Amino acid sequence: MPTLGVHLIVKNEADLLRQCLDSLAGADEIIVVDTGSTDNTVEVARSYGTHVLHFEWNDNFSEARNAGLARAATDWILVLDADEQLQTRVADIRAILRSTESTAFTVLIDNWVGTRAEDRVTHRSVRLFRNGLGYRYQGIIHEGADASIIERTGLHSIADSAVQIVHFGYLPGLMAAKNKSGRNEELLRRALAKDPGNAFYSYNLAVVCCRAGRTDEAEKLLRRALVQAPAQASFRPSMVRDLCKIYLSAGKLREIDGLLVRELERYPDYPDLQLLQGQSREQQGQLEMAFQHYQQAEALSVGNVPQGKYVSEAGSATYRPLGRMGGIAARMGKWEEAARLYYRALQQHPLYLEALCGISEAFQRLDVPEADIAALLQTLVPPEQSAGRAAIVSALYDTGAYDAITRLEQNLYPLEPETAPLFISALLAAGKPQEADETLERSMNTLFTDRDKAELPRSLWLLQLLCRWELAGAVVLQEAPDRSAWLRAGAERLEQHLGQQAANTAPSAGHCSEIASELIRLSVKLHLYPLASALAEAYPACLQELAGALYLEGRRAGAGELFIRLAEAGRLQGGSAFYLGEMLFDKGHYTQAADCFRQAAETEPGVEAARIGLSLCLLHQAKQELEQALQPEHEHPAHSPLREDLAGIGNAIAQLNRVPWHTEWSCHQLRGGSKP
Amino acid sequence: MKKLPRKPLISLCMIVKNEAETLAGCLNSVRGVADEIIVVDTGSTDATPQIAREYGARLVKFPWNGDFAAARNAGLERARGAWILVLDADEELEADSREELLICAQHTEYEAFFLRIHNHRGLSRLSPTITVNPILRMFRNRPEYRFTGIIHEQIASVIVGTRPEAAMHLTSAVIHHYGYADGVVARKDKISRNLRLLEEQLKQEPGDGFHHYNMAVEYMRLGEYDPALHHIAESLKLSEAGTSYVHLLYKYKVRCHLALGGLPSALSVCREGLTLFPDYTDLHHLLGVLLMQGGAFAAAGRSLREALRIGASPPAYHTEAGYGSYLTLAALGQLSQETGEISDAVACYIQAARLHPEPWPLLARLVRTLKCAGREHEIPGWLARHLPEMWAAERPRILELLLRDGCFAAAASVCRAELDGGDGSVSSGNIDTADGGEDQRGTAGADNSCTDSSGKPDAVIVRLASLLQDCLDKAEPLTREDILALLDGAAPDRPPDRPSIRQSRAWLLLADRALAGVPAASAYAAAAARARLILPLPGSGE
Repeated sequence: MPTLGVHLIVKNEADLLRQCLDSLAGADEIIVVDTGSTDNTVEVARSYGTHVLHFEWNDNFSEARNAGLARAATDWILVLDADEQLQTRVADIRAILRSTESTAFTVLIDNWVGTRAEDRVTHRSVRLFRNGLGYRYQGIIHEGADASIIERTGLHSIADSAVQIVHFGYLPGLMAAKNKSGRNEELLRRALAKDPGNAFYSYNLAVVCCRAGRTDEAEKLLRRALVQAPAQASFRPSMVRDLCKIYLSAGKLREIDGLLVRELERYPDYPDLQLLQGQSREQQGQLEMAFQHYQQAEALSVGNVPQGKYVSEAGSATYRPLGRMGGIAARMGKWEEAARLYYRALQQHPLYLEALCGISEAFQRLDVPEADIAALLQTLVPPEQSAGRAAIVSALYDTGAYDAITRLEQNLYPLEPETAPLFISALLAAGKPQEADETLERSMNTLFTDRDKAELPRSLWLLQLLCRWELAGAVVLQEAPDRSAWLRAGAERLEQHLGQQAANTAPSAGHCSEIASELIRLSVKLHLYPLASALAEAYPACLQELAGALYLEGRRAGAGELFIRLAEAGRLQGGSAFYLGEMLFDKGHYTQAADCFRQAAETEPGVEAARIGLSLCLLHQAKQELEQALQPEHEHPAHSPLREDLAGIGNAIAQLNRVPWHTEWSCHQLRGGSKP
Repeated sequence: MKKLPRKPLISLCMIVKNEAETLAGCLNSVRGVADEIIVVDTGSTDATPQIAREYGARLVKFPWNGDFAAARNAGLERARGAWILVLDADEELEADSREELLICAQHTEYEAFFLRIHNHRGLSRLSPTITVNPILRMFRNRPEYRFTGIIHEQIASVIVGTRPEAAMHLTSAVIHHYGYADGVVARKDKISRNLRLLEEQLKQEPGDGFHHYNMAVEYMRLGEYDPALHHIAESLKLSEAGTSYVHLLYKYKVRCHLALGGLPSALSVCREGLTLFPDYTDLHHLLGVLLMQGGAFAAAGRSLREALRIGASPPAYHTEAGYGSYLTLAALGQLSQETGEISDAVACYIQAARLHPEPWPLLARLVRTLKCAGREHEIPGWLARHLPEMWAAERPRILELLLRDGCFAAAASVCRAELDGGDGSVSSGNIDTADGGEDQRGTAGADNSCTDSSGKPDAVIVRLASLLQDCLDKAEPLTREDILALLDGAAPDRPPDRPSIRQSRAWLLLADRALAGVPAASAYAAAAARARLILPLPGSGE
């Protein structure tokens, strides 16, 4: 039986080292190279019976690694970091090694970048190799043994293995605590200064810049590195992916398309690239093309692409493209297809919130009763776990299935910090303020100790105020002459309580305070319309808020009246002007709609959708004129150039409508909006 | 000149009914080729018989009995020549092809010749060719060679059937066929009549691939692609590999799948067809276009370039005019545009415009491309450098095109150049042109130039130039009235457009400006840019 040694280099890793060493049970030898810890790392290492070496840090990772390798007494060497954990049992690794011709193996590294299941990025790395063949690490940083292995025994001596490692080092908390980025950046810059043409260093520096939010610099580095890197370089496809992600977040879609035209030819089996190309197309309103790229990404899940061939986000060949395809089907109004696609996504990843919300909305569109949707979600997602319960309740809340939330079995759904605000909101929306208040009290008492009370989520305080108001409502809201003062007093107390009140920004009638508008939005969202109106009366400056909130909640008739009132008072601007523009546009009043969109674009440059709305108004007017020219119809042949032009305008209108410029309402908002 | 041989060499055989309008043209075109003309008349009530006689035709009266083959064969019975040439009355032999046919007729080692039918959209030789189809139209006069089929009468299969070793030759001789576009949108009742006749034949000969092929064609004309696909599949099953129309079945199959929205199936049919017919330009072109639709731009580029490399399809293939040439170049231009290679796109459009019988839509595309890329100022330079003849001869029309696409700055610079130099060169600062010093308008372009005969600038240009300058100097955005005034300034002498068409164009230009105003960093910028590109091009509907 071949022997296996595990090699680590460490510095001040006492906190993480235990779980790493715990995963190595059964290794024939563990060699820990310490490069100058000042905590009790060395003690922890010794307590596991490891062989600890001291090596004075000299800004060179390879030399530290090689110092360990030189002491190896085992047949095989596995290289690990302290912020990693071995997922494959040592015995199983030995079984692989017993009957192999290869002298080196890659392992699959699962990088956790967040707490959700989709926050994983996988890739492969050469970490397991034979001792005694002279394999050594190279590179002062992001060191690797690959080059040495290839040089000594050739590329064919490396094979992929099923060995898996989890890497925690990219978790945001750890990143901040360890500040390895700062140290790495310095090393990388030094290395690049010596070797400016080294694409690998540029790439790694770009990654560091990206993490620090310096995307402009990262973009420059990556673009240069892509030119410099040899076509066969193993890290090249990851650079393409990283550059596309930067482009995508900066809205540089043409750049993505230009880059991926070439690179998808090179890496057609890289699902993340197909996904990114799809996202770019989707944002441009090219839904069919986007759909095809998602399909191609998804087709790679069943193909022969070995797992870990590329640096790949979790689900990039499964639930992510499926979820996106569901979204496109939904945008096209194909709700059954959307539901099927979301369902397939959820089979891969039941807690995928995007798909849960999507499937819930799709079934509402298909007239499935809320209770049945809730039942379906509970068969898809295991409610035994807290994360599952949170996902179910969030999805129902998101699609406005408030009644269904209030009917969930209480013994299956204990009050929990993630779900309590949603339950209380749902009870309020379902017209059960009494129960909402009781649940609120219970939550405050059970979920938070006295010490924690200060940390009580803001949402609970807001809900508490809404509960009080609703409970008093029948009496005060409708009859009391001083109800405005009463509401303002409540809001003021809350604001003081939340500690946000600065002396000069006290909520007043003439100023729409943040807390007042938040309360109005929440009231509308929970369908507490009389309360919302009363609040707007108490804070006349918040009338725009109320109108906008009503509009977004699908209460278009009520919103429309308020918009017109605002317009008459000359107070219509920004978002409200845009919403009124939409309402006029939807009714076909293109001239007036165009005026509103123009006003919106001028008063609030951020409302870029207003420019699309304006363009569409103008296109519709061009279309109407052309239709006039085509009267009487029978005089014009079916294929006349005029008709072609008309079709061309229609096509441009359709294309523009494929980008989500217009407010979109969920099913329950559309239905609620038609109720009085 | 050849002496007429005692025994006629080529007998032209036609069937006609009320063809007085076109018959003379047809018979003129075969002068010196046909030694004998046999016209089977199936019941003309116009001057057809007289015209035929004027050309020395032997007239055969044959009462119409619903059977095309029978009527054709009635003509063959009377033919004495060594060869039969078949033409329809709406066809003409290309003058340059006469010699080739006479040479062919000397080669008796062949049993039959394919001629290339150029299907024209309109009624004259100058109208654009839409498709080119190799069809067997000249064959040895043998008693056993008789047409079969009550419609789509066939002779090729009969020749192959009686003499399997028969050698046939694909000539480059051209027959022009007019009014093809009208034929394509044939009346529905005629199509259903054809379908009935074909079903009849299929009952008698269910294993005949040609009947299925014809059924497919009729269904495609009806826009019924599912049954068309069925018959294509049957035809492919029944027809032997060497049959002349098999390649066409693949092209039609692609079209059907595409019409049904089956992009993936269309793609795989294209690829399948290309394994059998690797030199078939049309399939390369179609594959390129389909790949482009699917976003596979690199592969699309390879296919289109392969189509260009081959050029027009080899003679054995049915082909669309422009595949492997200007249509492929235009597609390649669109592809370059998609991938942001604007200069490549413009170069493709220019090359396509040089080859295209109707270059203006390509010029409009070129103008649009540069405008949307924010390179409007380059337009005059590109045109002057690369399309010098048009640039010199068609300045007013170019100016109009610029105005109608809202390229007011470019139009102003053209006007300025016209006023400064009057010699056709564009000399304003940012426009780099070839040295346009010499005046090429001495010949054809003189009438179209923007200066009057005395060499003074045209009053229209002066007015337009000042109008443009006023608009360009305006601080606030242009209004619809401004735009209408500019559109009217383009060609004041021409009868004005219908008011609503004019208004529509003005709205379009306003929309274009609004779309151009979407900030580049906005999430909607790409969609807005795309919409600007697909707005109707000027000049098509006006």
